[in-house]
Amino acid sequence: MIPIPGRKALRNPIFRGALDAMTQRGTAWTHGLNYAAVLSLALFITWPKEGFLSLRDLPFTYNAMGGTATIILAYLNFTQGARNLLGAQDVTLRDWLAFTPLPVGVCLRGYLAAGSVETLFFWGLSWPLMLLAAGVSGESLAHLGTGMLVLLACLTAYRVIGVTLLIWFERDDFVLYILVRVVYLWFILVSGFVWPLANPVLAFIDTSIWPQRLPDVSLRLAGFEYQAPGWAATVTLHLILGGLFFIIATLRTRWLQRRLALRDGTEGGEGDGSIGPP
Amino acid sequence: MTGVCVRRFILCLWWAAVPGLVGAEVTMEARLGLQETVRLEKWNQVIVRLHNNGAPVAGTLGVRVWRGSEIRGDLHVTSFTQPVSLSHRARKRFTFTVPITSINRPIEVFLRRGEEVLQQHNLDLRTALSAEQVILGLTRDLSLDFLATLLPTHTRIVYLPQDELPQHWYGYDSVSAVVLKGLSLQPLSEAQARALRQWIAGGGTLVVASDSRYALLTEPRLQALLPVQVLGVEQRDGLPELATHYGVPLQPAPLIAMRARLTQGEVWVGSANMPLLAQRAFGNGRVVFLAVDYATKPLAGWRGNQALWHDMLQPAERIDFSRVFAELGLLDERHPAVEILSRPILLYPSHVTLGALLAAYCGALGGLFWVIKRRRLRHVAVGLAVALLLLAFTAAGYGLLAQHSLQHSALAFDLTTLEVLPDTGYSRLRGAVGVFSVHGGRYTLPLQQPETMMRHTFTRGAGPAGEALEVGTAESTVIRHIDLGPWTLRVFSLEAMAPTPLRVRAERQAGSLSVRVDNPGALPLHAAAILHRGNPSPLGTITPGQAVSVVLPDTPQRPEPPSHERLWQTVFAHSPLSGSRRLAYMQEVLLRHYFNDRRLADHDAPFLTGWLLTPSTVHPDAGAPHTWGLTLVVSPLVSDQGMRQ
Repeated sequence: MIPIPGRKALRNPIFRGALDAMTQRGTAWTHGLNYAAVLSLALFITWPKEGFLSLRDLPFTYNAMGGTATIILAYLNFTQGARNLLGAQDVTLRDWLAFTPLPVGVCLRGYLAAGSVETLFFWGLSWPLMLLAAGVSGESLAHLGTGMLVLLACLTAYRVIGVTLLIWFERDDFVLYILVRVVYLWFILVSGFVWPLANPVLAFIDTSIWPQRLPDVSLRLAGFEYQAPGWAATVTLHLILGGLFFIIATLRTRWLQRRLALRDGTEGGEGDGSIGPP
Repeated sequence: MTGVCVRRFILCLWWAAVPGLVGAEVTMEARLGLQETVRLEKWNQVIVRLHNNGAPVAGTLGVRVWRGSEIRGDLHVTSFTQPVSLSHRARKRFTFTVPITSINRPIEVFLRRGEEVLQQHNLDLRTALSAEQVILGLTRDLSLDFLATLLPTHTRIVYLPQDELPQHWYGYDSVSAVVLKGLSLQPLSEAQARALRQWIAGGGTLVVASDSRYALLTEPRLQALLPVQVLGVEQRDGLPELATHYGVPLQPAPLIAMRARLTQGEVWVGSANMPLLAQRAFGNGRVVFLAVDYATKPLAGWRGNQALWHDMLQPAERIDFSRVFAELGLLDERHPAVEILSRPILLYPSHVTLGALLAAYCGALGGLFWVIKRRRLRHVAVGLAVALLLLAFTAAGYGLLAQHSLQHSALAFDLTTLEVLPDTGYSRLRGAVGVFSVHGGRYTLPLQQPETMMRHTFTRGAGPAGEALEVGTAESTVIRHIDLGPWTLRVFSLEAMAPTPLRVRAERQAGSLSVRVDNPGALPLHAAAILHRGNPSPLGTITPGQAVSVVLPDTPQRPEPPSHERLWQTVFAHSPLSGSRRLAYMQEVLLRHYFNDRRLADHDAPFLTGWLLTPSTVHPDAGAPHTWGLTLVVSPLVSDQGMRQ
């Protein structure tokens, strides 16, 4: 039997449910179309005038496009992550996670996988336009690939952070609203001044032919010294951050399930796999 | 005897087995080639002698010079290198020709093995003899010393033994003129003889004066250069023709003069059957013949000598201001490699095409999303449809960027003008080369002609550029260590001499001009055209081995000759090259530069133009960056008598 990648994920009821909701609700499609239109407009505006090879300035199109995509997609991933994907307006994600008969890990992984599909969808929409921008800016395909990987790693981390914030603060809309935007602003804007290695826009530009925007990072491990480019440090930092927030989300969900189980005198965890509002 | 051989054999084995253990004992001696004389802003010879008393050495010998200006911010160091191999007790002499622009910094001569410097010697230029003009005397005596005080400019007379004469044409760069008397050119090596011929063809002056041994002037190498055929000697009593020509009385005295007959060129003093002073053009240079000995009575001490030598050497007219300005950096912004970048040479899709693609992309996405929402497709189908659409538009975007030149790490632009030097068998190549680094890195520029001179270099662009270049001059010329940051351009002005790829002959007949063009080379000459008195006559493409003959009506001369601007525009309009728009831009830049630099002294004279669609300076197949090249071929039309029509 030929193994089909993601088959296990497709069997995850939370993942399927979230995908169903996403497909039917249509918000993702509208957002996707708007995103593509905005990025197209940015490309049209920054497209070079005829084929001049201007020596005075470095090519601008690719980095402008990368910056625009990062800023928009970071916001989308924070806000969409902090929004219940499962469809029903009157049932919170907290309720879903607390009352589902599925184990916590399965629930959370399924939910995050569905969110990651959305992230991948937006990320994929950027490819044709980023390729055009790279072509006129002298960026090699290796640069483009690295830049897009930096983008994907950062966006995935932001999605996890968004989901964690949702699980913690879902009942308090106002705090959630403010927190998501504060975190977004910190990563996109403030970090550029106070801790550039945490800034995704600078990391993206660091992978291009522009002069290095981030300092190299040296690591001393087991007597050896390693030099890593700045963008690699940013990616590592975001992956660690995503992992940490995933653990926090898991612990919080576990705590929620245990607390509700104690209160209702029931044990969650094993079930028949069916889902639905409690 | 056997013991000595055995000892030597063991010694050789020892050296071969443990070369690193035996220290090399190399002594180095370096001096300036023209008897310690330096001409600033010119290329000067440096002679290095090596003597190895130790183990065999294989390494690199180099001469490092500083060029550019700190004020202009283009200071850079260039090392000229050649590989050396010295066996035990070897003595070798190496000659370098290097540019010297200032006496403030010494010239460093070094011998290195890998990164280890075995010997280093500094030549202090402050103690060198500087001159505005250098006259090289190939004479058996010091009879030219009087010229140092006779000529108005600061002149030095240099006498070289024949075996120290330059091997390359640019070895004569610092020489204003060569005066030959009483010596034969036959003992010169083939390289030395070729170097002298190429230097004269490129604009040098050779003065051949007579002495009592007329047979020297009938030797083949000299005969091929002289404007006259020497027939013998004759006894004369004074030189009244010279006195009359220069208006300075000349004491009558018995003397020996050459009996000769003019074969090509013009007679200044005397007649065609008895020339006293004659000259001929040899390419862009001149060969002057003086039928008498300038060092004996009555010419020795004659008051008319200043005028006579001024005529023969023509020193003031040899200053190439465009070259001086270029070396000072005043013409950097007008350099062809910089100018070509002010044209839209990259073939990007226009905004209209881009707009159409973007509209199609957004439209297709909108349509697909609408279908997905309406039809409630399965997840896998939705994923596949979206992925296919994105893949299709990614591929379309990649295909739309028809020109992927910027995907190369660097681009080289080679705009070369190949000027056929009539009746010499040589042509002069002036290459304007730019290496544009897209991603940054270290590049090497192999050159086609083995004897190429780097006149000038500078950088432009957004990134940093390395200050150290290395020019390898072993068998071919290679410029190495071109370190450039991303989006940075290094520009070179290069000059070379090469065998001519065309033979062009013209003959003026009654009311017409008959022209024959032979292409014995290996490349087709595209869009060839003859321009005569501002009127173009297209010849089309002349393929290798093809000969084209054409008879042009001899149109009356215009009251005013056409301007340079008009000339190049006429040539441009009548020599369209099929291909990309970039070729047209390169054509325009080449033509504008060639004609505006006033290289055609007489622009009303007929000349041929054509195009080689390949680079002629950079060697693209020998490891050069991706090269865009075009060569403009220009040839004045020359009759069988060697005179320009």
